[in-house]
Amino acid sequence: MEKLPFLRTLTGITFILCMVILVFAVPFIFMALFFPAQVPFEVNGTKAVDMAPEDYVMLGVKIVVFGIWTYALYLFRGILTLFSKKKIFDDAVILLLGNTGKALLAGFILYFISEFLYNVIVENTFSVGIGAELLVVILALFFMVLSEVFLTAKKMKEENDLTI
Amino acid sequence: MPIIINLDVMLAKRKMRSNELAERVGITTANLSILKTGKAKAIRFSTLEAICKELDCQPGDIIEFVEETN
Repeated sequence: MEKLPFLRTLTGITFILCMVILVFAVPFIFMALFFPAQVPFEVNGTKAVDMAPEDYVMLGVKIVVFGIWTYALYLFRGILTLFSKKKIFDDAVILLLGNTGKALLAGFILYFISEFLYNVIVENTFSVGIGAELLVVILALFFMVLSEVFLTAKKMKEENDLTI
Repeated sequence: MPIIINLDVMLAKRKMRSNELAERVGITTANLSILKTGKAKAIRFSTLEAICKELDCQPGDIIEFVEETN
C-alpha cells in the first residue's frame, strides 16, 4: 500500500489545480460576457469581442463539464482517504465509487451532447466521432463496475465473518 | 431463518458455560455468541464436529429445522 499515499497526494494536487482553474474560469465567463473588450487573451484563437453567443454557451458547458469531472476527482480523493484509513469494504466506499462513475459519465454525456448540437446547429456538420473521450466512458464504467464488485465483496466478507 | 440453533438447551443439559465450551472448541466467545443468537450465516463441519464432541451430542441436537409460518 506504499503507492496509496503517492496517489492520494497526486490526486490532491490535481484537485487543487482543478479548483484554481474553476475559481478563475467562472468569473472569466461573466467578464467575457459583460466586458469582452477587457479580456486580455483569446479563447480558442478567437478574441472575446468576436465570440458569438453560442460560443459562450459552449464555453459555459465546457466549464460545467470540467466542474463535474473535478467533483468526480473530489469523490475519488474521498475513496483514497477511506482506503488509507483501512476502510475498504465499507458502504461509503461503494457509494463513492458508484458516484464517481456516475459523475464521470454525466460529464461525458453533457460534453458529447453539447458538442454534437454545436456541430449540427452552428457548424452545420453532422459528425459522430469518438476519440479520447471514450477513455472517460471506460473509466466511468470501470468505477461503476468496481462499486458492484465491492458490494459483492462486502457481502462475501460479511458471510465469511459470520461463518463459525 | 428456519434453522434454529439449540445450543443454549444443550449447554444447560450438560451444565456447561458458554465460555468453557468456546475454550474447549477453540473458538472465541464472540463467535459462539453469534452462533447461539442465530446470527451466524454458516457453520464449518470442523466446528460442528468439535461442539458435538464436547457436548456429547448429535448435530440434530444443536441444529433444528422449523418451517416458517406467514
